[in-house]
Amino acid sequence: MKYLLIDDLAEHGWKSILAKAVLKEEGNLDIASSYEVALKKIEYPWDLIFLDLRLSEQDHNAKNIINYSGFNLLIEIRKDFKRENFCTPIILITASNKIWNIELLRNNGIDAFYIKEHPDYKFDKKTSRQNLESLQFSFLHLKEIGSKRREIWKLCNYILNKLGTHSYFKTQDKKYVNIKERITDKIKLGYTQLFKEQTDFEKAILPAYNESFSFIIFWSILEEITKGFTNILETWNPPPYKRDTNWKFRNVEYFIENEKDAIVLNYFKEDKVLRKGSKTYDIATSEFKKYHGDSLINLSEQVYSLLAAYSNDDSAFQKLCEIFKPLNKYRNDNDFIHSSVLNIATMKLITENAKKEAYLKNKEILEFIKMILELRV
Amino acid sequence: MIYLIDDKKIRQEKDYKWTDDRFESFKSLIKPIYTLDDLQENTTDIFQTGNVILYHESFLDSTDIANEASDRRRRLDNFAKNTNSYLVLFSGSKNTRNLDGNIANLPVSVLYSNLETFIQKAKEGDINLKFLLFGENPLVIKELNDKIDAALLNMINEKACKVGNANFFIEPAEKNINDPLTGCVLQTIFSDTDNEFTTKINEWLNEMIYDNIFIPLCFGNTLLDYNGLRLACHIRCSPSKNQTTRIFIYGVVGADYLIHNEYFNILKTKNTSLISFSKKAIGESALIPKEHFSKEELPGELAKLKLDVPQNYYDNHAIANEWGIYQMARNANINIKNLDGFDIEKINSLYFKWLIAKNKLNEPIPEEQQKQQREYLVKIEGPKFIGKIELPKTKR
Repeated sequence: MKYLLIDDLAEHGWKSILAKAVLKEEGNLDIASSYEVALKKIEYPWDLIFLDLRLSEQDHNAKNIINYSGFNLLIEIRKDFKRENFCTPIILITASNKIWNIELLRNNGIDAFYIKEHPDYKFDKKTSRQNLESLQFSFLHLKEIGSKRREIWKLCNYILNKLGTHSYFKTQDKKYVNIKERITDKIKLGYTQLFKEQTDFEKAILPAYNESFSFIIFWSILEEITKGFTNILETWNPPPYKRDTNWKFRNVEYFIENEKDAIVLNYFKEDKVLRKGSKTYDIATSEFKKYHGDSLINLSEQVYSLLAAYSNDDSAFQKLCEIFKPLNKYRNDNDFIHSSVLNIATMKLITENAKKEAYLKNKEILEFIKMILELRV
Repeated sequence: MIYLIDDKKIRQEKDYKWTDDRFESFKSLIKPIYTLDDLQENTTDIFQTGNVILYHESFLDSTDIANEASDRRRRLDNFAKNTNSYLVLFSGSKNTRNLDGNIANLPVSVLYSNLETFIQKAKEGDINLKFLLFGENPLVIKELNDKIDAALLNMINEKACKVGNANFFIEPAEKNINDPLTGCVLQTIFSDTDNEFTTKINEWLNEMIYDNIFIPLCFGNTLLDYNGLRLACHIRCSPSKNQTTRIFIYGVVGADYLIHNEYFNILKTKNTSLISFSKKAIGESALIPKEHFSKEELPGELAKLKLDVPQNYYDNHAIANEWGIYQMARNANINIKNLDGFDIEKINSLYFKWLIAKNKLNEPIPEEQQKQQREYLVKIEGPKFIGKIELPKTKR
């Protein structure tokens, strides 16, 4: 783990005391003693940042907190989702005990704070002890949260960057621009939902299941992705977008191709296994009815057809299906989409294990989206 | 011309009421310099023979040339020594006044409170650093010396009282009383710094518990600083065997002379008295029956001291930093001496010692808190792999 202490007096004891009393290890705490140095160091990723507000004599003379160097660094760190330390937990180390200042700093992205004790507002022994224990608790908690935030943020950020360079989305076509914007919003919505913290009073009274809701948001990105990979003009008529049987991907592969009294799909099921390849269904088959005209197609089928259209061969297709299948099953079993009678009759809605599993599924769905965006187009 | 080189403009205005308007009214005599650019721009004018340079010792600390600070100081010293000019070094960390030829050292508060007098006298053509050190009437120091000399003369034939051997007597390096108290332990104090006081208290007052400690009121660089009051405060704030031992401060002036001294309130605390500069007063005091004064009463008594935050803490090293570090170390059960970069001398300053003693922070943290800290260490390190236990097949 790598930590950064931004404090003009870091070398006058703060680095040492934080390493000994909070980190309980030496050597992993780097320092920045001025605004300029800190500005350079926040270009690199940190697992946690300790931030002091006043870093210069000018700061000591400034009357408003928004003019302090530390406050400006905080704004700099949090100003964009893509910033290297957007997800990094920040613990404020401040001599200010003004609650409105702490509130302002919380609103601008600090995760926790430690009040440097001052003889003018002396803490009694109990409060002084609580001050340290609260810092230690925050550190432990944020260390864990921080690594999760970075794990998810890295995936989210990769996807956002990929969208910026992907030939399907680097376009002036408003439809695809809109899809890209929707994916961007959903990525940020999912991230927000996943790491939204409840207040203590909420924790005591209201249940939380952020992991499950963020999964649903991330999952729903597949709706946009499948449309982003589809040739919209050749698949849907002009608004209100009615389909005339054909579904054509942008690499000219068809998912559904309309032939005279028959349709052709680009994947099929054989011995309970999905296969890449064309299969024709004539008018007498149930498949014909299912896919013909403007019928609605399940999202999972859209995804399978996309995987088939963009994988080089059946073996590559199989590998992608193996990743998608458990995700699809997890989504189908999700109690907030449709609950089975088994769930309703026997399962608790929220358990710690379920939350852990849901967190992992968030990671998996993002990794899957990343994989789709990496497919050769 | 007087050049006042101090970057702490806000402190000048807020704490000492030296506003732009006030400086403006003396603009033909004094020029304040606030920044390095200002200083560099005026260098030629500043270094003119006959000028007075009032220099804040940490002026360069927060500039890009902080590493040149000691070199620049040396150049200032040389300038004052080699020309007919004056140099006054001031800072918030200085407790005493000192004048050596045309170079003076003094606390920041003294400088600003006497600055107007000094300027007025300079306007009349009387440039005398003593006005800056002692205000309107610098001759009082002579009066004080005369009083001590007279008191010593009166004592020539006086015999020392015989009391028990549990008396500790501190004498100044100069103008001390010959054979003040028969049977006492006698020691001489040579310096008046906080560090020296701490060292001497550790050295002198940790072996045995005395009945009485006698302290001179006047000693050190400037007798008018009444350093005995500060030394008494140090004894009360230091966790020695004699922290609550009765203290007598012997001097040639009464309490009315001391009332404006920052440490005057020590005389309002239990078991601390001001007595006359005579063998008789010293002997009689030693025989006064003792009042009970327990360590439990000490924080309440020390609260009466009401010491101000030293002025140097309003420099860029705010006290919250030192105090915050100290408190964090204490609560985490870490010895402050083991921290890298922490200025351990701060702990020896009277203000720090007072805060610690007043808040009973010399006591170790409770066992339950120590346990909590050990548990935190376990939590942060996570489970440790110690080794494998090989179970017999039957128990697998």
